[in-house]
Amino acid sequence: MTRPTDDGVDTVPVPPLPSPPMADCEKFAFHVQPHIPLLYATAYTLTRNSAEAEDLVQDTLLRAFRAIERFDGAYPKAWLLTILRNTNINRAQKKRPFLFDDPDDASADVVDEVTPEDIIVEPVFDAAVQSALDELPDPFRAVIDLVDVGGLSYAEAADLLDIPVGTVMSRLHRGRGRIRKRLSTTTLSSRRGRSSK
Amino acid sequence: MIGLMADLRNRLRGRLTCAETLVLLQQYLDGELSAEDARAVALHLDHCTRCDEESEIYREIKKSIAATSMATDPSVIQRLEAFGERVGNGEIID
Repeated sequence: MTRPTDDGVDTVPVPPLPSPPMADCEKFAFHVQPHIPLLYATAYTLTRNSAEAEDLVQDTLLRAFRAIERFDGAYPKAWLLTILRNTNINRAQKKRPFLFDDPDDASADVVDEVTPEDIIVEPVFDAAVQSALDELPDPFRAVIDLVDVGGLSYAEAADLLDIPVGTVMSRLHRGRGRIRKRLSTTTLSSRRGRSSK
Repeated sequence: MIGLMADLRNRLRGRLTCAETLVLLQQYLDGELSAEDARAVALHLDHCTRCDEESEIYREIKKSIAATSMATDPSVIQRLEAFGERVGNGEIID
C-alpha cells in the first residue's frame, strides 16, 4: 500500500496496519460456530437446565476462542466437547455435587408392568417415549441424549462423561430397554400405523 | 422350544442367534459395529421377523428421542450463535 506524496505521486510506502487476528476469527467461525447447536444439546444433557446450559455454552465459546490459536484444526467436535466438559467440571466444583443412585446397579432395572389402564390411556408414541425417557435416572438419560440427540460416538460420550466405553454401552442398552418395556402394544401399533403412511 | 429350534437353525446356517443379535443390536443401530459384525446382524434381521421388529421399534425410539429432544426453543440457539459471532469477532473476551 502507498499514500500520495505532497506532489501527488504515490511513492511513499505506508507501513501496514497491525493486522487483526483474522486467522483466529476465521478458525473460530469455521471450526466452532457450526457446532453451537451440538454444544447446547450437550450442555443441556449435562445440566438439565436451559439457563445453565446457555451459560455453559457461553463459557465454552469464550474458552474455545482463547485456545483457538493453539488448535490445529483436527477433530473440532472432540476438541470442543473436551472444553465443554472441563468447563462444566469447573463450574460444578463450585456447586454441590450431584448425588445419584448407583446407575449401574442392575437391580434398578425392575420396571413396573404396563397395566391395561396404561394401554387404554397411553398417549401417542412420541409422548410415551418422552415420558419413559423422563423417568430414566440421569446417568442413563445422559448417554441416550448424547448419542441420540447429540450424535456423539460411544467414545466421545465416554470421554465427555469420564466413564468407560463399556459403561456407555451398558447404560444405553439398559436405558433403551427400559423405554422399550414402557411402550404398550397399542402405542407401538399407533406408531406403526403412522410410519406406514 | 420354537426359540431353541430357531437358534439351532441359525447356528447350522452360520448365522447369529436371536440372543447374540439382541446383544449387538444397540451398537448396530448406533453404527458402532465393525463392518463384519454389522453384516452378521443384518443377515439375522433379514431372516428373523421377531428380531427385525425389535430392531424397528428401537430405531423408532431413537428417532423419537432425537426429534422430540431437538425441539429446543430456536431463540436459544439464535442467541448463542449471535454470542459466538461476537466472541469470534473479538468483541467479547471475558
